[in-house]
Amino acid sequence: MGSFNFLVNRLFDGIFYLFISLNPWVAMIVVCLLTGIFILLIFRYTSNQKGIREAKDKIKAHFLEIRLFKDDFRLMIRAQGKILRYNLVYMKHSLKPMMIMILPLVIVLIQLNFRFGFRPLQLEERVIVRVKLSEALPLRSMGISLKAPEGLEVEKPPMRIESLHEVQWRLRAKEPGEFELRVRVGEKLFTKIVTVSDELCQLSPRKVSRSFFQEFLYPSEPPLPSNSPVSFIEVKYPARNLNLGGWNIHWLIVFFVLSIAFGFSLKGMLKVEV
Amino acid sequence: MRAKRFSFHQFKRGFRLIGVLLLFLVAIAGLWSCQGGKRSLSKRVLVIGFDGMDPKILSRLIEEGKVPSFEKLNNIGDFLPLNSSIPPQSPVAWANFITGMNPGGHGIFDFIHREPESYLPFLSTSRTEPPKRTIKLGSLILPLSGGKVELLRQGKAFWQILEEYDIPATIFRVPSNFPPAKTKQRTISGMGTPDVLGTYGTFSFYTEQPKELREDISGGAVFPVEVVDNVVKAQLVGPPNTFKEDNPTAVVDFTVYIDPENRMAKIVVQDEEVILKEGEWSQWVRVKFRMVRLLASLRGICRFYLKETHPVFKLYVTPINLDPKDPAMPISTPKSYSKKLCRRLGYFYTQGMPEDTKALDQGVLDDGEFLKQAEIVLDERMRMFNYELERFRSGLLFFYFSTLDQGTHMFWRLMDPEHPSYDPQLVAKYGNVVETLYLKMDEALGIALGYVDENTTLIVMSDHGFAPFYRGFQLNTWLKENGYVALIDEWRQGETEFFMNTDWDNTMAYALGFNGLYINQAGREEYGIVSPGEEKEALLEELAERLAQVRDPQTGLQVISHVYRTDEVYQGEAMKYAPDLIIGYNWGYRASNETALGQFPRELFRDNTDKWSGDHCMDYVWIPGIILSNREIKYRQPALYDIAPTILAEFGIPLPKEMVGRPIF
Repeated sequence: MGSFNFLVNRLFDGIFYLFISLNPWVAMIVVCLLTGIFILLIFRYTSNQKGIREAKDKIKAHFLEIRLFKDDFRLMIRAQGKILRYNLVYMKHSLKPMMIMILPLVIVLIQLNFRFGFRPLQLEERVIVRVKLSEALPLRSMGISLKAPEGLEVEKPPMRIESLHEVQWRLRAKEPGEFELRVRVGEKLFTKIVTVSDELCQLSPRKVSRSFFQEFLYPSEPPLPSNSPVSFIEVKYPARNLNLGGWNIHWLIVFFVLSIAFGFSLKGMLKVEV
Repeated sequence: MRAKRFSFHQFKRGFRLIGVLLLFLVAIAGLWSCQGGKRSLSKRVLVIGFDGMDPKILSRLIEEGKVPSFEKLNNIGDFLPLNSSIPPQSPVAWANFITGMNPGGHGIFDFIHREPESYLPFLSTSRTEPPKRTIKLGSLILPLSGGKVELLRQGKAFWQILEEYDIPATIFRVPSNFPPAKTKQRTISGMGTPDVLGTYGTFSFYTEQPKELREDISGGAVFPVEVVDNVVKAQLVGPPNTFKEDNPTAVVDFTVYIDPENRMAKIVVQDEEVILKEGEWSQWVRVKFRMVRLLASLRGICRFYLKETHPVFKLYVTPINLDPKDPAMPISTPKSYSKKLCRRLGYFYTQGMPEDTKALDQGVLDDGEFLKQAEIVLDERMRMFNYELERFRSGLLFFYFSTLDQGTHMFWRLMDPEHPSYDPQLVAKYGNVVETLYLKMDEALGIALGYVDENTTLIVMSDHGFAPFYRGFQLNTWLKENGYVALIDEWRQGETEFFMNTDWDNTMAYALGFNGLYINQAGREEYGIVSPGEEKEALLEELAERLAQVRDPQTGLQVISHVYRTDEVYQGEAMKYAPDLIIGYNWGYRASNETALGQFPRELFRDNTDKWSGDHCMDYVWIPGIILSNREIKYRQPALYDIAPTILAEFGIPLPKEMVGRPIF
């Protein structure tokens, strides 16, 4: 999983490289355009284009039948039945590209979430760092500490919540950059990346324990070692929204609307029947 | 042939569609962000309102060389006392400022007015009405029409007149303007803007030992809590949920986790989390009261103050302010202005008077904690002041500061050894608070002076000055003792408020609000007995004469220096709610809080031992405000209602005939 995450992260870093200092809208529009084209190409080469076209033509024809023979009740009922039938045929032809698209799209969404869903810390901003232990351990006696490099300041003392098996700190950003926190739990040492920046970069809100599913969902940082007493280390980055004329819009809505819009705009050009 | 399908025309059509889509997005963004086509002017008028700045204190500080920016402005221009309103209460005074009229024209006579039909009080500046038509669906009550929030101040605001002449204006938090008067100018409401509960500010205090506090807490609510396994579970209380049958109170659950040893706690409210050390204030926390699942909610913002974790858990929460990004009531014009400020500068207090004087008075916050909170308010204001100055290109900018007024109200006691609340032990630490606030206002003025050029007229003003509030006078009790009021049950005197125990058939006059006295007039009041005409005239004369003779038995001093007849001092058509007499209290005296609420305590005077120790609800002659300008003031007895005409005159606009003021330059 680690190698796969590494490759995907680098691929998206490459795509975003040109846009890190620009308004996030620019990157979002480009990503949506690429996604729209990608969806169309998947459709074009994996779906039964002829079948889709035929199904759509049939549906249109039966709609026309309804308009022309609206005084013939039996014919209208039969036409509606056929519209339903060809709709199912249409859906059957679309199923294969949909299935093929799901996995890449989920990977894209995960990558975008850690770029558009959160924003890096800004100077003088405070954030909570949370260390969640995997079991009930004596928080007060086992020596849990957090060390930050220059550029970050750990505001002491730690906040310990025994009922949740958690230790939390407040962290203050003093300089821009990518920093490595060092979390000591007993004798074991763990690290966690924290980013202070104005740019559009990939963030790692959570460093998770080693598990296929967890690593798939949180690909930005290598996982914690196996058999770690720590379940995850989290940095509560502020949420990022895309601003359009005063309206804060969740990136996911923008992504779906623009990708679909681009897809429909380009389907004629790429000769794709959708 | 397959290749033929990818023709140039098809590519062109695709690109054209993308182009149209992108242009559409850019156009929307452009439309939203543009400021409209306001005429560009070089003439600028900058008005800074320092609520409660006193000419005596300011003069002394200028003489002592402690306020260099005020001194500079005094040297290059002019500095005079500014006559306040009658009575000199903030809503009245600022309405004079806004309209260029006196209360007879704008219809604001006090913080509180009364309905003559019921004798019941209501807030003078705004009124909220629920939706007129609703439909009931199960336990849900859905409105079919919108509710209404109405500004009761009458007359045109000067920025509305500027708008008619296409002169841009930004009006920042002027009092007596909630909801904001209809205009295309940028305005945001100030004093009078409620919290989400619809009150002028109700704090919440969560404690394990509620009995440490007074039982009759006003301006806030105390919630007893228990700490179980270092966890506290409590609720933020919102407004009644009018979407549901029986209007249950809307609440938001929150959890506090307390560190077992370290003096800190983590507060979790919905999806927000904050860690606080003891004695720390949180940043703004957004809360959402869900009224109807997925359909209706109300958003607010609040700050937490962790007062103590061990041994007694104590947590203060500010009144829940309207969220400037999504306010439940109108707080700005255009609506987007508050959102824009929030986006640029972060969340901010939207509540009218954010400094929590009630929490200090009730002992929930101590002096230092109150000052820290006031500092947070001032920091927010300074950020906004800088922002507005930076983009002030033409027209008018008015900016309001409340901190000095609220600070002087609360800390007069520590600069006046004669005050009943004077505490010599606190003087070393807090005796200079008022002076320090003047120095901070001087810093603000210094920043403003940096933006003043030859095309800019600068006016620095306050609505009133300050006087000590040593003793409270129970005007209703005096009226009762002198036979003008009869009670239904004598033995219940002092137990009820809002005239609940009043025998109106035998009552000739009554007092409500801080300066108003009303005749129980036949044909106007529901149970009026005094005929208008000769009988009323004689009664007014008698009351004015006798009230002016009242002496404080403890000091021998005159309590009321002047009684004003409203039909003599007011001009205009908005006299419906006017009192008949305005009581001008002598230096050191004021109407008691009980008088303002229509109560009849048994004692006639009360020593003011509260922290609310400075005041201005006296005779206006004692507490003029200030006016400074970079221009010579030719009219040497300026009053608040002269400022609106002065602003209009600066832009060459003819004065409306309703204005009673005159240009001062």
